Amino acid sequence: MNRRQFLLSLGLFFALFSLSTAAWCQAAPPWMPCSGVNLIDQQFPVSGPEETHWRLCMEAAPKNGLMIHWAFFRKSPHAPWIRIFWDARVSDIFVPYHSGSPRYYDMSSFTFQMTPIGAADCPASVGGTPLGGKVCKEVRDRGLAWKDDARVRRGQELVLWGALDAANYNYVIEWTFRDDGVVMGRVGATAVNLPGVPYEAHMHNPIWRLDIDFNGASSDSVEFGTHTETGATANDTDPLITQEGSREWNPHAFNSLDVSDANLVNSHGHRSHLQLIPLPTGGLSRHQESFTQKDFWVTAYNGSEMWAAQLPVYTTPPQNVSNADIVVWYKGSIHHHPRDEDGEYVGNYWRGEALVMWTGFMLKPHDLFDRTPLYP
Amino acid sequence: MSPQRTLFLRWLTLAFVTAVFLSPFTPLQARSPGEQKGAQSKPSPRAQLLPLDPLTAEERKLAEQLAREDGRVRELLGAGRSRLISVELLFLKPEHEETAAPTKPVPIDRHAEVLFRRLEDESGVRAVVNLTKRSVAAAARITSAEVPLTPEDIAEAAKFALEDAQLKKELGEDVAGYSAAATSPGTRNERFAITGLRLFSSAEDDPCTKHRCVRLMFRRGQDYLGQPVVWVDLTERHVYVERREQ
Repeated sequence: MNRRQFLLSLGLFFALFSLSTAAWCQAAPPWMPCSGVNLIDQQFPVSGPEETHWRLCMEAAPKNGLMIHWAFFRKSPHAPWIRIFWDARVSDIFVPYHSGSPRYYDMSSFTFQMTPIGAADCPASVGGTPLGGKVCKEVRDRGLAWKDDARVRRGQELVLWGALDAANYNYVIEWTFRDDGVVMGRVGATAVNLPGVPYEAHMHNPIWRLDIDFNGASSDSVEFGTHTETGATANDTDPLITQEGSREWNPHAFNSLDVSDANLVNSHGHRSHLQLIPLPTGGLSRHQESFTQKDFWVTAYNGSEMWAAQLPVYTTPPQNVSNADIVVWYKGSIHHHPRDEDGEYVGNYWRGEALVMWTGFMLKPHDLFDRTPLYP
Repeated sequence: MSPQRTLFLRWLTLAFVTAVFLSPFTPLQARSPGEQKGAQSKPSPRAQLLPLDPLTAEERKLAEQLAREDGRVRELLGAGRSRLISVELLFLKPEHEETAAPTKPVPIDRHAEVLFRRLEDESGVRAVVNLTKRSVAAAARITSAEVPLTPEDIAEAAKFALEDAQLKKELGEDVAGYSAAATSPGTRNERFAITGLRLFSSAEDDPCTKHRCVRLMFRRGQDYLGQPVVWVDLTERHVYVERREQ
């Protein structure tokens, strides 16, 4: 072998070495501030080569129930990990009865414990795994991701849920992390109507506090997605929310809170967003308490601002929320009009359980991926 | 084929196989999440707690002690009697937290939220304790509505209620079962259980506007007692037994 051939093969060696290293190499997973059952790591699809990946911490605690911390998403095996949440929780559940009293704050006024979760709640046959005796992790098929004639792809999701033992009630707190990057939060109300007045209608209003640190804590902004119809034409606008405050959700305007980071764009140069979209069941309530007068709130991060009822105070005077560390809040509603399906009197005792009633929201990626996810 | 050319092809094959074989072991290769989990689960010599690990019993005790020793908390609690309500983990963002996806441990102090109840006026005090630095980061007065009800409150209310003659008469032979349940409120597996909800009011003539009130609920088996409706003013230690239209 002459000198020329030796140099050629050496060059080829390094070229091949670099190429195969790049092929093997993935972004290092983020360090996680939790351990044991609280550390959740889930790649999708569940079997076969990875396409997307979630990595997060959960905390099951009295009062606020199941909370999510430090959540990261990776949109492809070779893409960087992107931080989504610092903290996501139900801040409170406000329950006013139609007669004007009682008016319960089912999280801030109590130290309710989480209920036990066992195999009956969380059977392995549906992809369930009880975690720490208080949380159920379900990894499961979520139905169609997309379909185009004969070509089709089903999706998968990771669902974490636990329940608060709120005296006569149970509140199911559920977080879903999908293979397409969507996050869903839901609260379900179930168990026994208020003893003594089981037929009195009332509202369960969960208010979520989402400390979204999109691509890190700083440099986040929120736009108010709005759809407007004018004659035969329509227009979609996204005015920037510059100061702390609240917004009303109008179903005709398809309003959403669109969170972005100044430094995060996809490969097309489009700024990536996470769209907070309400998923109401029936409607969204208004009560005399001022924090219930609006559906969305945006605040600047403050670690001591955790309780929804204080939102009008937190936002006065309003601080800057553009290019900042922001927190978004959303209030959902469950209108509970008691029915015979909830139960019946047997003598002087009430017997029966109200079936689970849900409300929630979706956090949907917009221009985060470079192409259709879960697509060959 | 010349010997030189054969040697060259052998070198080429060897280079290819070596490059592909070595690439997974390069230091540039990130550890898989599973490998990192394994590394994390290996106990360090000092078994150092991670920022989101649950509070230990020692930390709970320390948090209460640091809070009670703090001058601001002492001033806010005043000279009257106070009661510990709760000690819970707080996951607070450190200042200048800039790294979007850190691969190495981030220094995040462990914090606890400590809540006290002032018995003299039913208000409370919230202290944020930095367990890492062994200091109180913040202390503030909170309203009565922000002082959550505890299992101890429900047990106390149940005890008062079950001493009420009218309620005893209403409960009949179930009194004994409920009396046993009153010592462990919220116990779901027993035949009898007593649970409670905090009552608020804004009416001027309603004692629960200023006092700490609990609405009690009585469960026998899976069924809840419909009537009477029982509520207890814990501040005045008064029991109200009422029949309401259903």
